[in-house]
Amino acid sequence: MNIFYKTLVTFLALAGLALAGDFVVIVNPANTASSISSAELKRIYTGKMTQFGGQKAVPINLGDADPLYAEFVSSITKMSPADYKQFWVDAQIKGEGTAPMMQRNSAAAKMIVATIPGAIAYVDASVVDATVKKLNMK
Amino acid sequence: MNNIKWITKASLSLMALAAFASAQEAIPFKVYGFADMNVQYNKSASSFNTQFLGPDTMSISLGHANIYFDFNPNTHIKALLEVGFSSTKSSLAYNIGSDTNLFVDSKGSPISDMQVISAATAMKMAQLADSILGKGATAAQLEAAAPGTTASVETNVSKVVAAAHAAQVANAQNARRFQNISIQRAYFDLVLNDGNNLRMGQFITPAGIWNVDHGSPVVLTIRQPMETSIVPIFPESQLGLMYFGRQYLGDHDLNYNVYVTTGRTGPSAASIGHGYDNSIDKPSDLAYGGHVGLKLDMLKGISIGASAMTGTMREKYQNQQASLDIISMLLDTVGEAKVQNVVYNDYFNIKDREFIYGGDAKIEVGKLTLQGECNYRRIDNEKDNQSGTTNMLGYYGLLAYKLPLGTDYALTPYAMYENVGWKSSNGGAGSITDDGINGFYTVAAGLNFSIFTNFHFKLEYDRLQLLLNSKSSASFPSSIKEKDLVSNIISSQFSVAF
Repeated sequence: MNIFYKTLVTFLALAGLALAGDFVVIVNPANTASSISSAELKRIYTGKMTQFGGQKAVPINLGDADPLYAEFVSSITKMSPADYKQFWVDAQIKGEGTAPMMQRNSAAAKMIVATIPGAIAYVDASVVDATVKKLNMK
Repeated sequence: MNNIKWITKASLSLMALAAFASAQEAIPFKVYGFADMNVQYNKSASSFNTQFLGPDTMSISLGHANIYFDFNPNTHIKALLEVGFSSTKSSLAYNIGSDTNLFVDSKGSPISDMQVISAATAMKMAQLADSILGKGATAAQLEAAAPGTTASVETNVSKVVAAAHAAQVANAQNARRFQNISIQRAYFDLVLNDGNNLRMGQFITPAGIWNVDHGSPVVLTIRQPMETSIVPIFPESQLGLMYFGRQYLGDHDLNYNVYVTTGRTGPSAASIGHGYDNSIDKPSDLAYGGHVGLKLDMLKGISIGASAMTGTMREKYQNQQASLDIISMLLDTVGEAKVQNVVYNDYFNIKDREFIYGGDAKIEVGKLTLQGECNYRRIDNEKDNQSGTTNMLGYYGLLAYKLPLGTDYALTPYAMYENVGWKSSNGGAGSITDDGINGFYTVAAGLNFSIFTNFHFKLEYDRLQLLLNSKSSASFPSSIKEKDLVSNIISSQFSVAF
């Protein structure tokens, strides 16, 4: 009984983590792209790629309190959240651009994407609706 | 009813948020920057090293305060102005008091102080003999009639020469102490796409790694490699036109740029108050260069690059000359002689051509960073009837290991070694000869403590060893040995990016 209980708790915890780490990438419907690769996402979120899907790329980050932020940054940019912040401080001093706009949560990020033609964001799948377009990962 | 109110309120809030964000995105003008404060203590084994490092004292200074004005009105235009305020002393290897260009002849060639004093004394004596003893009398006759007159005149002329030097040195020292506002870069970009962009204005020379990473919050160490600071092998910034872009090769990035500019700017290393004026008389006076870099998506990151550049270094003067040359003018300052038949001559104080090649690499494996650059520079003297050449080679290696301390702090110990050497022939070029000193090496070790990303505190020890050229005729006193040419420096720096 004890083993069963521990297994169940572990399973639920892992399932919860997996859910917390699930993000989808969305763009404004004006964007012509239907999919995006991890390399392209990394370039957009590090300011290297400035245009995507026929639009000026406007990346949007979630606030660092949102669990998706750490998940996205570490899995896509291969940096820790602290290193990613440092990366943008450095890029600014080098004259290579300024850090992406930041939104508190997925719902706010989705609203921005629906408003700005070139906007792109990673959000919780539950907030996606017809006002934005979900991209498939290549 | 309450639910409807709440939903309406929430929707309005989100719409307001979206409108704000949209407006934020539309803001075309941003201001940001960085500042740093330094505490440094030097201890040199001899006074010679103080030319590089300043006196053997503890100094506290606001090193830099750089403000960026970033204007991005639309997708295709970007402008950036970086203004630097600095209270640090110039770190150029000025040799105060030995500016050979204080006196020049009608061809613009330097005349030594002794030549000027000797000629002016002879002329003054001839004038005095003429006026005191009568027309046709000689200086020797005057000296015989009034013993000590020659010595007295020579003393007075020497004072005039010394005063001229003193004024010059004072100006130079003021320039060192109060050099304050400078435009680090001022350009605007025409952005077509990721692969094709055009930059116009003054930009940081895109050579290697450290020449671009010049702000204290970006730089891991306190003291940059001297080949990118005190004796810059590639020029720090240039004025001109640059084409640049990036291509994507699968997961890897290829970035490139080529530029045409007016060449190296800033003061020359040799003399006070002089520098490269970038006068361009013909197309061959322009500078050309470029950099190609490959960033591989391997390990945590691998970057390799190559840079090349060729250009001219020029300083053109319009020199005022009188029929009696500088001697007449000297005498005029003591109220005796008159300047006659003044003419103006153009001449080149500096006219060199340089060829520079460099390679750079950076490897990041986990928390470990290994970085290095190697740069070679050849300078040819192109002044009339001169053929001097100087070859310079510099390289450094940096090793760092980042230790994260929670999410907001990190401690990075680092060590760096740098070696720069030069060799000259036929008098050298670029105001660089290997007579006496022909290089140096530095060893640095330090700690970089990062606080909330934007703040950094650094503590560093440096040892600088100047290298004696044992094969040169050595303008040095023979008593100076290599062990006398050592400096030990302890520095700390606090920097903030805002």
